[in-house]
Amino acid sequence: MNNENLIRLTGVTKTHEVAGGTFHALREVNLQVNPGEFVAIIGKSGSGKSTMLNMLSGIDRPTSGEIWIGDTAIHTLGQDQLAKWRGRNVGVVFQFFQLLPTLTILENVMLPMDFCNTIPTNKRKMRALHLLEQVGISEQAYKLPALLSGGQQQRAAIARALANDPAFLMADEPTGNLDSHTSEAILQLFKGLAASGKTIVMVTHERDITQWVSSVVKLADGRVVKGSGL
Amino acid sequence: MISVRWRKVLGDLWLNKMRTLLAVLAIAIGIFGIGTVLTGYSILTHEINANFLGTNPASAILYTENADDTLAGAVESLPGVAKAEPRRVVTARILVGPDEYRRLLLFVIDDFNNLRVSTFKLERGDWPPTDGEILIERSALPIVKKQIGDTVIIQTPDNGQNHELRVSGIVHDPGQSPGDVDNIAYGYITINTLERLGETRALNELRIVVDGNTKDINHITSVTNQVKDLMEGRGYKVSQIEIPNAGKHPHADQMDSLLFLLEVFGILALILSSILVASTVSALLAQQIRQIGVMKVIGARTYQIAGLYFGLVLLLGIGGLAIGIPAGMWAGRAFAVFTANILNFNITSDYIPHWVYAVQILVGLSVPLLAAAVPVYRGSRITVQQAISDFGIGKNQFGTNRIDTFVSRMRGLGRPLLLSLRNTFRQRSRLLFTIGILAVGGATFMSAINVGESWSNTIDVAMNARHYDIEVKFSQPYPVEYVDKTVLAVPGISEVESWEQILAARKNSDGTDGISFTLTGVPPATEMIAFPIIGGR
Repeated sequence: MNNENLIRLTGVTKTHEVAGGTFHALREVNLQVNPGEFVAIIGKSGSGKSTMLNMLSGIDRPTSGEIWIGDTAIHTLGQDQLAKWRGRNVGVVFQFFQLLPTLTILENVMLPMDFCNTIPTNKRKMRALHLLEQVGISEQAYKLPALLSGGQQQRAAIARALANDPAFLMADEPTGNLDSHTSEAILQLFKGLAASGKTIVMVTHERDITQWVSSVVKLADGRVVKGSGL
Repeated sequence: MISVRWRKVLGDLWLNKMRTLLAVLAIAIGIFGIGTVLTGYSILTHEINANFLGTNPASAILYTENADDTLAGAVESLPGVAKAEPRRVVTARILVGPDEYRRLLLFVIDDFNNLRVSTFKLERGDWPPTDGEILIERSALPIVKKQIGDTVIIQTPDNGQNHELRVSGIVHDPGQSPGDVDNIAYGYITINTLERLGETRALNELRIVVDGNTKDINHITSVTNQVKDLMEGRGYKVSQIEIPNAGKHPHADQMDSLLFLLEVFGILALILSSILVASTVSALLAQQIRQIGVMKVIGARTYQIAGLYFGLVLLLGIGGLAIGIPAGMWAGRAFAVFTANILNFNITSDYIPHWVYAVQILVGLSVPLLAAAVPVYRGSRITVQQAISDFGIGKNQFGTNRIDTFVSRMRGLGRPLLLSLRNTFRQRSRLLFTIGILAVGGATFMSAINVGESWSNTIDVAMNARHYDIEVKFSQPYPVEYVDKTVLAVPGISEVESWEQILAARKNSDGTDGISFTLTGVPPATEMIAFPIIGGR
C-alpha cells in the first residue's frame, strides 16, 4: 500500500501527572486512516478525542507509541520541526475558527503561505482568493473576521487550512459552534474535499455523522472501542 | 508590498492603541531624558572651548610687584610658556543705589589692544577705554544698572574716596562667573585710570598660559616654577602663586552637577520605560497566546513568532524615538542656553553631533528589545498545546506553588478581597512588572523630592554653621582690639570677631609651590562658626 497519505498510530499512550496520580488521556491506541478517507472521531467528553486529534496534527506528543503521517514519524520531531511539517502537510480547523482578528479574511488565508513560503509571493493573493471562492465566501475577502457570521468564519478557516495545499485536514468539532443548516454546508464542504483526495480526520459530536464520513472511530476512556484499528 | 505577518503587527499595535501609546511615550520619555543630557553636554562641551578656553584662561598667576611687558616678554621666551601678560586685579566697590555698594573687581590692563591672556571682547561701545573710562562686563549690568555713557561711582581700598568713571562700553568676559549670579561687578580700566582712583601705578600679577596640555596640573606647576625662578633671578619677589582649576570654568562643577542630575533622571526614566515596554509586551503576549498557538498550528516557527514581536517592539522604539529625539533636542538646547547664562557663555553654535543621535537610536531600539527579550522568548517558545488550551492540566495555574498555597489559606478576609488577592498572585510575572513600574516610578519621584530637600538642607547647614550677619573685609590689617571696640560701638551690633585671611600655597615635595588656597585664622573659642567635625578634633 502506498504510505504517502496514510495515517498510522501504534500503541499511542498519553498520560498527565496530576495531584491524584497519573491521568491516562489515551491508552495504547492503534489506528489507521487510509488516504482520501474522511474519518469521524466520536466519544463522550474526556474520552480522548481532542487529545487524539492533537496527536495526529503534531500539536501534542505521545507519552509512548508511534505516530506516522505518511512517511514522517511525527513523534520524533521537535516543536519547530513539527511547526514546519504541519504548515506544509496538515490543515487544522478549530471549533471556534481561530482567525486572527486584525487581519482580513484574505490575509488570514495568505498567512500560512507567508510562514511556510510554499507559494511564490506573487501568487499568494490569487491562490487565497481562489480558495475563498472554493469555500463560497470570496465576496467577504477584504472584511475582518468580526464582520462575518460563524459559518462564514468557519469557511474562511477551512480556506486557511487549505492554503498550503496539505494532504491532511484535522478538524476539531468544526460544526460545534454552528447552526444545523450551516453545519450541513460545512460537512458537505469536507466531503467534497475528501472526494478530491484530502485525508480528513474530524472530531465531532454531530449525530448522524455516518452519512457524511467514510468511517467512524469511537473512543471511550482513552481507548478505541469501535472503528479503524490496525 | 508589506507582508501579511507585518500587517498583523501593525494591526495589533492599532488594536491596542492606548497600550501602544503608553509604551511609545514611555520610550520617548527615556530617550527625551538621555537626549536632553547628551544634547546639552555636546553643545556645552563645544561652547566651553569656544567661549571659556577661547579666552586663553591663565594657567597660573604669579603675584609680584611692578610686573610689566618687559618681564612678560622674558617669560614668554621660556620653553613651556605660550603667553604671558601683566595685570592687576583691584577689589573695589561700586555705588549701585543710595548708599548701596556692590563688590567690584577692577581688571587693570596695560594694553587693551594686545590682550593675550584671559581675554574678553567688546560687545558694544568704545574700545579701548580712555583714561577716566571703564568697561563693564555684561553680566554685571543688572547689578550696576548703568548704560554706555553713564557715570559710575567707584571706591578703591587705598583711599576710600568716591571717583567718577564714564562707562565707555560693555564687554563679554567668558572667563568670569556671571556677575548677576555671584552678586559682583567686573570693570576694566587702564593703568592711568587706576592711578586716578588713588591707587599705586603698578601691575602686581603676571598671568601665564602654558604650552602643551593646559589641563595637566603637573605640567603647569613645573612651568610655573621655572617662571618663578626666572622672575626671582631678575630680582622680582614672587609673593604668591595661584594655579586656577586647570582649564576649568569657575562654575563648571555646577554644570557637571546639573548634567549628572539630568543623567540620573534620564536613566531612571529609561529604566521605567524599559519596564513599561516589558510589561506592555508581556501583556500583549498574554493576550495573544492563543494567536501564537494558531500561528504555530499553521506553520510559524519559534523564530518567526519571536521576529514578529521583536518587530513590534522595534516599531514601539521607532515611535518613541520619533517623539523623544526632537523633544530631547529642544530641551537639550534650552538647557544649554540656561547653563550658558549661568556660566556667562554665548552659544555660538547649537549644532548637535551625529554621535548624539546615534546613541539615542541605539538606546531607543536596544533597551526596549532587551526589556522585551524575556517575555518574547517565553511567549514565542510556548508549545501549541499550551497556547491553545483554555483548560486542562497546566503547570502555571494558581495553586501550583507555595505562595499560592499560602495565599489560598488566608482566612478572615471577605471573598471579594480574597478573589482580588488570589488573582494578584495568579500572574506572578505581571505582578513583578507592576511592582517594578511602581518601584522605579516611586524612586524617580522620591529622588526628585530628595534632591530638592537635600539642596535646601545643605544650604541650611551651611548657613547654620555661620553665626553672623555681616562680614567686612579690610584692605589692610588693623589691630584686633581697635576693630572690635569700634564695631561694637555701632548701635545694633551685639558681637564681633576679628579674623585674618591669607592666600596660602601647599609646598610640593620638591620644594615648589603647589595649588594655592585661602587660609582663615579665627579665635580658638570662636562663636561665629560651628562647622560640623567630620573627623579629628
